[in-house]
Amino acid sequence: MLCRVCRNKATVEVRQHNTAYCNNCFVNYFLKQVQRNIQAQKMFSPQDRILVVVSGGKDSLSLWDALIRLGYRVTALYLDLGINGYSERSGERCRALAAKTGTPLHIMSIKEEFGLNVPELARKTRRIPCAVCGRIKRYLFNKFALEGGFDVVATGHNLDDEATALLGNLLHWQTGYLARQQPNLPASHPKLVKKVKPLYTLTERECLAYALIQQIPYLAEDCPYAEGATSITYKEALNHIEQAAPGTKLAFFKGFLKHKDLFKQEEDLELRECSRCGQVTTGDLCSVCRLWEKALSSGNRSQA
Amino acid sequence: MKVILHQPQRREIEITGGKRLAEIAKELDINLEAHLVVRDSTILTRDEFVQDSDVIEIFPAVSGG
Repeated sequence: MLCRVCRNKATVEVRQHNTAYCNNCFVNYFLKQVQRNIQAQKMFSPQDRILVVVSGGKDSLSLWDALIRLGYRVTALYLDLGINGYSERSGERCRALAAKTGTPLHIMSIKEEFGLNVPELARKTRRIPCAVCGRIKRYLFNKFALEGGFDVVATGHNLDDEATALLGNLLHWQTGYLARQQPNLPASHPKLVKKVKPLYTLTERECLAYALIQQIPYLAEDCPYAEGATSITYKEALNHIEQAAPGTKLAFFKGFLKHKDLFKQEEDLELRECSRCGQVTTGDLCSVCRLWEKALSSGNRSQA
Repeated sequence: MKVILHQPQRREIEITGGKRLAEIAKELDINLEAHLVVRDSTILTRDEFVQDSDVIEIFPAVSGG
């Protein structure tokens, strides 16, 4: 198989585009896709200050590397979830890429912010760790971006993540989530920072290829709480279809974006500020403060 | 030939080589849309011929939860 650009021997086959690239041309293709997504969705401009949220995995570290190479003003944020062993190893990989690229990395510990780590918060509130984790992460990166004066928050969600979320939302007819799912989520309140997903057309396999070729020191280990997650089952199902019909995932998600107005909701929820922490919510207390109060009352009960 | 599987725990198996990667993937029930295969630090396309003396590594692309 030959590279479509330089006609040297190909290394990475990209079947959804019916093509293949050598290492150098694949990196160029990947960077062009990221740049095209940023411009097509009006995510940010070279003048903007971008906060990229990194986990230590291949996707977010590849995004961080790509944004640096494209010349954007990037600062990374790693949220230490306090998951025994896994969080330490994830943080090490982020620090390694920061050292390699010479770019700033901030580390925020959930234990230091809330007094409890994710497993402890989940146990005290009797919720599954993934539900607690997602909520806490969104809260903290928005707070950090707002206080730090960042224009936009970028996350490493890729095509597989988006297609999987779409499949899950459709299977359960989550019309509210369908209305909100998009690669560019504008700031709908002065205290909410715009959120973007520049990898939304690139598959997980392409992100892995980029990470391997660029020798990005990513952590090839899933979170221990992800084992048996429904999203992994959906990803496998989509990859099974992709194997038989290359390009299905991309067509599925791009088709959704094209027909997104089908799910548009007439009544927008009224946003206000949480009476306890001041972050944005639809009720009196935001979901993180409610979680925190539940954890505290659980602590009081166990002490009594 | 030796196959090193990262699932993500490292595991090694021996299989008979002398065939194309697409055939090896089928034999091991590996979906090449969800994995990358590397030989001597180079990613392989599915038409690549793999010798019996080769060592290949299989990396899963699917992650998360």
